[in-house]
Amino acid sequence: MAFPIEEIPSESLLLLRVHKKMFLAQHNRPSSACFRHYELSTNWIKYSSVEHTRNEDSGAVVSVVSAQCIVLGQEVVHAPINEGQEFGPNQAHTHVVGEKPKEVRDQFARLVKVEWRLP
Amino acid sequence: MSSLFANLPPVRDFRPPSASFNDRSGVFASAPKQDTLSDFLEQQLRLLFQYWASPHISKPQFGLRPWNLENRDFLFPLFQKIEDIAGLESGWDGTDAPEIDPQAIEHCRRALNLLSWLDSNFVSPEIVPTFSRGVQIEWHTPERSLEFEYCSNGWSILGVMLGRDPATRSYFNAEVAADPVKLVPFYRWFVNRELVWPSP
Repeated sequence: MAFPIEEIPSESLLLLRVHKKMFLAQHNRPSSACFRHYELSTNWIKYSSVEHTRNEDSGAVVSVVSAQCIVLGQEVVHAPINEGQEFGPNQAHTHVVGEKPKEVRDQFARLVKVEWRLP
Repeated sequence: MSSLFANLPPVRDFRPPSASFNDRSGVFASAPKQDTLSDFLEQQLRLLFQYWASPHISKPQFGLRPWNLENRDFLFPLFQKIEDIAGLESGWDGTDAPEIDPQAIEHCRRALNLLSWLDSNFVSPEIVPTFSRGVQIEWHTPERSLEFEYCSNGWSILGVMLGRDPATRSYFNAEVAADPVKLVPFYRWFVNRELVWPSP
């Protein structure tokens, strides 16, 4: 049975996994290179958690508020992955959609909050 | 290094000794005789003095590291990090991230070699892979940030100036060719906190 596509409230938190080679431990922030994708994959905290989001290659898990993404010219689209699909099932999966020039990537890197980082 | 002397006056009857400088390890591939090396170094220093003394050439303010081949050890951790990135396989992010372009790796090495040679106070940058098969070199201070991203045919550069209000930032962009010499003015903008963004 397919997960329903929901409207994500503007105050919702989105969790993003940061690869250990892209997390700047000395500065406690991700590199702007993390935010290049036109459809940036995140997890909606309503159906996810830090533990659910991170994996063995994670250097950190960061969060961003949906409204902040919209201020940066992005669209937040709930895109759940159903059973049988690649990387599924994941009801929390959400895309942050939009062009991300270097300035926008830098702004993302600065405004995200580090929820967990590799010790 | 030869490009550093491109604008210097020619020196007559000067022939450097037959030695090759290994750019990666920082050592001579074949050791020249002591007297010819001394002459060579003396000539180079004289040329450098003429360059720095000239009022007509705009020069960076950062110091010139003495050409001591033993001073290259501090680069080893950096180059090790580059090797780690070069070894990333397709899907390294857990999804569909491509492997890094070997050209990007090589250009990254060249850039770091040049900048570390020019700046006696060189601070090791962060180096990260990108999702477009490239490499990004970045420095961050409370006042500024500088990013060099190698992709395809050249460098994409981002400079950030941070105001007293953390929410106030000025962004600057540039695109330059792969030649690492092109990065020097932007690196100088960062370390010297220059107000004017260089024109490519």
